[in-house]
Amino acid sequence: MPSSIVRGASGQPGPIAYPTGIDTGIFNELNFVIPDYIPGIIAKYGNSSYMLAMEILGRTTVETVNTTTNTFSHFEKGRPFGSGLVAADVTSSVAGAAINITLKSPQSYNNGATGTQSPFLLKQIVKIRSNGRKFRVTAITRTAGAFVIEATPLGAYTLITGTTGTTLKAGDGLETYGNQLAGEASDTNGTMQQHMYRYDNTATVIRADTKSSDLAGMNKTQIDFGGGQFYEPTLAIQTMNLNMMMDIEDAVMEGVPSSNTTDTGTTGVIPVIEARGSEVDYIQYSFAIGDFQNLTNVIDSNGGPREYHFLQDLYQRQDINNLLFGIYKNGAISYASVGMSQEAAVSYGFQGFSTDAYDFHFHRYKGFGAQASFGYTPTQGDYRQFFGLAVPQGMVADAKDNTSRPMMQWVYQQNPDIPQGQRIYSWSLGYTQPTKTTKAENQYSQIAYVGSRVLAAEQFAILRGISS
Amino acid sequence: MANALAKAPSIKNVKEFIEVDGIKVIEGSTEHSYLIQEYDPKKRYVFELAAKNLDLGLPVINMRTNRAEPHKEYKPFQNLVFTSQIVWNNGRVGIRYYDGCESIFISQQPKEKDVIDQLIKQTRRRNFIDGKLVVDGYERMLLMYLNLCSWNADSPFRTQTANEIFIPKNADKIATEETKRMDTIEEALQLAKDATDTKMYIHADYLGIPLKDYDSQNDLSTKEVRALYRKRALQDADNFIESYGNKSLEIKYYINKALMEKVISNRLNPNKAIWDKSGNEICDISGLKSNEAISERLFEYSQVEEGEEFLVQLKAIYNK
Repeated sequence: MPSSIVRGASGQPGPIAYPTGIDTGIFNELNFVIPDYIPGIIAKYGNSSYMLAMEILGRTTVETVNTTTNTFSHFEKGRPFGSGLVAADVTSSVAGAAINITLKSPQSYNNGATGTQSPFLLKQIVKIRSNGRKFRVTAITRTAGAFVIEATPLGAYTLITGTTGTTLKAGDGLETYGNQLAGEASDTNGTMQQHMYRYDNTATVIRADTKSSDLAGMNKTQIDFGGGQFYEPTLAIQTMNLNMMMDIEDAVMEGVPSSNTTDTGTTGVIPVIEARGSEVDYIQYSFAIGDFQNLTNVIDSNGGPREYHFLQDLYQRQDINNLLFGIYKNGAISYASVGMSQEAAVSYGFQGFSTDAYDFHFHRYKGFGAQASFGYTPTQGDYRQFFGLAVPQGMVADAKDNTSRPMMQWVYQQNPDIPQGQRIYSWSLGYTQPTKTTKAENQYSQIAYVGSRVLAAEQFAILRGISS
Repeated sequence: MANALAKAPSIKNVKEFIEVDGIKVIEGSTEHSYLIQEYDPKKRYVFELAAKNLDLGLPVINMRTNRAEPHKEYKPFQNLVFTSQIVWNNGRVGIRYYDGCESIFISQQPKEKDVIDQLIKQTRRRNFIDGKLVVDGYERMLLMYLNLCSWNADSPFRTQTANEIFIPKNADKIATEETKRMDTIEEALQLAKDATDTKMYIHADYLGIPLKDYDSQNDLSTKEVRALYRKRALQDADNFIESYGNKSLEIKYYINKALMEKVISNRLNPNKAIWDKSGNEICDISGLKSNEAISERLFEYSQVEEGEEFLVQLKAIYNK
């Protein structure tokens, strides 16, 4: 791709920074995302902001944080069905004879001092994945570094991998069931309980300030900045709000690392998905049906819900357009996650596509593209080119207190001194403001305490076009 | 065309190509060696993702144990892309893997759409699960694809623009590196054991090994310093060996010692370093205030011709 600067009014370097302040007044509209006002906001700021979409769809929350470290948490349950892996080959040559199987850590048990955390229990029936043969757990030896079960076949067969040979091979899967063969006058079994995990994140502090001198607020310009407003502060209001939207969106999506500072940042959605979710790669410019099937397979394996938001940079969107919308007609798509109706969904910037029992609502996400956001074409690499993020829709109950939450949530921390429910707090002082200053200028500030919450990260997926 | 060449450019270095499985390569070239590479059909070969997970800072807490879950090195799932372009015989060439196809080179593969469709359908998807892809040795074409393709960060044929997706987990290479590391540690330990006491104190000073007990402020015995010195050799073998034979460390040590013991001072004139006992001038130290700066200046002086005598005298005092 040729190196080029996007020319014209919308190119680099973008806005101008005035360290000592120039010229604005501010009224933060972002706190007023109420149904009657949504069309106005979309008309003013466009439909490219996922932050606004999240706000409109009610996927944000304001929470009181109970710690002094800006930390907020949620709880998730682990999988209810237990399994293990064979750690090393075991010989099984006599039909019906018990064998000792050493399990692999950490997939099968917690390799602590006693190795007590494992889904395996006495009397349990276990199935070998490679051939479906069942055995009963007749003894368990828990020692540090080696969790061993005695496996007695339920039938007159050997416990091997596959159907021939005399070896149960390392890596074969062992899937636990309850006591399926309790027999007469049976006694109690052991207890199974799902894991419970706590996921923490912190809220970062995002702040913007601007100053407006008396003359700057008085001198009428030749430009209508909207709504018959000819004064420069109007433009600055919009710039500041757009910047705040983008700052919040980037902080939530990409995260704000802080380990090298004394401040507290936040872990972003994408770093979490990169670590705990799945990635499906395809070759740039040659997206194929098989690639989409790879994606739906992964989503299906991880129990993903029916509806997904698909945030994409323009390159990937074009790859999708070139293939999918040329082949498939839009089927019956539920627009539940994007405002109940197709019209509303389209006005919020979504386009629907349904395949393999999943509804995808594509959203061209400007935040991934340097061209769209900053007005230039990168020449030294672009980590978000041909990038897409599949965000599952629907609500998940917290494992601790059953609070129902969207799977990707923007969490605003509640400051008790700020009016309830305000996501972005604005205040002002100056010569025409309620709090007077001696200098003939007004100062406006806004602040947000925000972070992300990702529930069931394994159901998210990254679709990435790779360059050959 | 005034600038046209008078004659056609000559063809340079016409090389002899041989054909391996229908692919032309120069005999003995890297391309050739990769084409004829054999794999043990009874072994399994492992490839792992090149990118490891970043530490997110906040661990996941297992509420049953109230302890942090171990950090997972790799993402749980990433698929393998079966098409790639590589630099082959100095040109860009396409390769693609299909199960059951006898070549990975697109130029040698079937061209009929029906056959290709069938090949695509019958090709099993391969994925990196928890960062690892394990391939049986009898999958020769898949292994060849994995070793050649541009997604392999270690492939000599990768294009500059390709994403680095995975690397082969080469057991021999890991073992070689491990052996080398153990050799280095052994060498460092041997040096630490055999060093003379003087040498050890000089080197220990550079390595920052304490010579006093922090609590009691007693000087550590030579035996105690030796133990710490050997321990450091074990912990930081590379740096230990690298700095062990460094002569300048010795000189700097002597200079610092001389300054501390007032063997060298500037008591007669703040701008001149002198031998304190005789009052003989060593060199000019005008404008230097800190001990470090003076020490550095004296070291620089010891390295030039005029400072040779100073160096001889210094060594005569300490290097007994």
